[in-house]
Amino acid sequence: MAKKTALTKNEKLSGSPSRRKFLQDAALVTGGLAGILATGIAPATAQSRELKMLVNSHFVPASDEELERQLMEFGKAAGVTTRLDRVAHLQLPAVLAGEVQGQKGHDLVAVGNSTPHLYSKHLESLDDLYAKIGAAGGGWTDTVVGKGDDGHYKAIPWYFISFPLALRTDLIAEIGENLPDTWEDVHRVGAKLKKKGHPLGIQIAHSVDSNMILRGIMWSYGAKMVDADSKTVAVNSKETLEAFKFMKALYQDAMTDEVLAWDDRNNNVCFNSGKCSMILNPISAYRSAVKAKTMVEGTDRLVHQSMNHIMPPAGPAGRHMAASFNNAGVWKFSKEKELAKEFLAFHFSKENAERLLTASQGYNQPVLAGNALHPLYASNPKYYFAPFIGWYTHAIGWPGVPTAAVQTVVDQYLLPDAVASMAIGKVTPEEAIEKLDSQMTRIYKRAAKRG
Amino acid sequence: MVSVPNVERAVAASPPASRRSELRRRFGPDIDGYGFLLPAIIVMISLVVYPFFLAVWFSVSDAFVGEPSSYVGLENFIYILTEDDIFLMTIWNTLLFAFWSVVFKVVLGLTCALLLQRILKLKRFFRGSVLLPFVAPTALTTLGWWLILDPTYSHINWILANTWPFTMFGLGPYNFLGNPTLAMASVIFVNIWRGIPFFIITILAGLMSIPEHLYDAAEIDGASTWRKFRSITLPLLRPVLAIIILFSTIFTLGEFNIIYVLTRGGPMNSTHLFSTYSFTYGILNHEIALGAAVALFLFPILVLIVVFLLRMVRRDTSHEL
Repeated sequence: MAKKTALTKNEKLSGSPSRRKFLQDAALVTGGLAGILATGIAPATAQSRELKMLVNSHFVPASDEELERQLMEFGKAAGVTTRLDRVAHLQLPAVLAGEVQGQKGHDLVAVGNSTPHLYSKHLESLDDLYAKIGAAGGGWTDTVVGKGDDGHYKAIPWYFISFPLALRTDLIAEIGENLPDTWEDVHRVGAKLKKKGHPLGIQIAHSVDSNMILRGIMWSYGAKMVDADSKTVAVNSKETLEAFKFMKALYQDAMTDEVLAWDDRNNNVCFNSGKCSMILNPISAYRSAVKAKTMVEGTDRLVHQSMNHIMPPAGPAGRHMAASFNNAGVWKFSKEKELAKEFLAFHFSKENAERLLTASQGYNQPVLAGNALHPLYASNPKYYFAPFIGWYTHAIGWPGVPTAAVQTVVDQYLLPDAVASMAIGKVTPEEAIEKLDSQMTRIYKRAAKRG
Repeated sequence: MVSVPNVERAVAASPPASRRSELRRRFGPDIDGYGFLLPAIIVMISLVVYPFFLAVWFSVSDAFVGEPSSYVGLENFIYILTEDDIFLMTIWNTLLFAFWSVVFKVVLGLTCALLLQRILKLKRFFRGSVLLPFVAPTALTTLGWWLILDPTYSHINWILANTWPFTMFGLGPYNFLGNPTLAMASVIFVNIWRGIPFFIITILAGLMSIPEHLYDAAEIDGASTWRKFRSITLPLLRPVLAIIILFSTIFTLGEFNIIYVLTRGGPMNSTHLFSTYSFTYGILNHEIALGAAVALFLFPILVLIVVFLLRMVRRDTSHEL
């Protein structure tokens, strides 16, 4: 977990930028460290200082390694020791809660979707840094991510894991269809492929993917869970009814009941085994198919050569998809606030951001529009969707800010449960929406009372 | 010159001893015993009593991560009981889960213990083997069950579809974790599988302690096997059964790992238990107060169960004496 800086290791890394380059990068967005860096000698007092960062373990270990390398490089230039701690992503909320309760811990922290809003009082305002990084990086594709409850940016949007439509191009060609562009297309193609034993796979269960994809479908039909003020529950609408009716038809015609028990892994397994024809998923299904050299059953074709990713389908209200956003924040109680901000400026420079994306094998999709145009995405037709999907991807709570209340709605899987109970015919779409509305109203009322 | 006796000198030079004598005079001769108990009492207070009362405080406060908390009385309990439909479902789920788990563990545990008592060949092997589910880490074994019950590639469904004689009946495929009833049955089954070794080994120990001459006497009187079981085995096992039922009820009501790994409370909250729902509120939603209220909701009922079972044990053991 914790690892003290080993500068010699850092120096050995090939392609490590020179100190001059580092200085240029950092100075691009901040002048804070310039003095120290120009002289190349850290003040004597800095030698005992330590910059500590906490992140959730990335499922691509090289991503964490690159982050650690950058942290060490920064530490060396600034003359401070650095430490990167990693915890399992499910443990991160508990660790953050412990640090907030104790008002001590790390300086820099990875904070998920609604955490900047939840811990607004305990996180530094980073408006200036946000503006500078945004200006240097070609602007942000989403401008509500990272906002606190006071309207200030409490975290710098780091990256998101997108949900393109992964599909088997060979199966779609076999039934004489074009690649689907709208949800209606997905319904039609999915129904045909289900009859051939290749259903569509979208989780309607207690899983992260389910929360994201079902929100995306709702938004594409013009429905929303909450208004742009982030406070008014707006789920009970005719648009939601349309979306629910569509989801029921999609489930009944194009899917099987397995999806009611799926977690975030099952759709990958279903797709790579050759059973599922289409799934909405990050590029992990593709990556694992490449790695495992999975074959299409009964043929000599590789699964990864018979698939592609395309943009999330469009609905009557356009193309929308939700995603989990990861952000980087600085605790107010940190003793190294300025140093932490300087590291963020260094880390979000174009070169370092590109290195991180490369190390993550393309998973860490930047919220910075300029950084999204990455050579990795141009190198492989399977990634052509990637530079553009950010414009159609929103955080939970859209069109509002991701708040603590919407996080509760997500963590209690209220939307997947409402859709599941309706899809299996336990309740009507109207009843499911009514129940969802009352559950959300209860949660938002409690959040409003807390203030 | 008057010489001072050595003993007196020693006493005079040892003020702690006189203090101890003074303490003994005041609190009785057991004062040393209390002294030896002190470290254990400190550990108990720090690790059990303090966290418990802290949880009680949380449940009657508006505690939220990172916010100062204040007393709100029974507001949290009223909220979860009157407004939270998922909690009402959780109560039902927990009672159902605990009841069937404990009932099956008692019945199957007793049956297996009786069988194991009669096995003479490979006795040690069988007695050791039954402990396997109990000694392996729960999270790990539950991951195994997760694959066995997988919604798409369940091992059970594969066997039903591909193995004779199951193929003759055309059974399955079953959505073990996606159908609310089957999901509850599955988590109960895994809990039974996990908990049954504790019952078997403890009941087996109880069976071994029953004097053989009672069975000999019954045999001479011409008692049937059932009569011997009903009139000798069962009454003499009652204290053991009461204790293991007590422990199992407490552990089963607090089950977390199995649910979290297999279903995460789904489908449609049909397997949420107090522990998983409390985790959702307290850790994921940061509503420490509601998390504590959910966790402590069953505390009064548990106290009643504990009192009832312990009274039963006391009555049975005093009868023996």
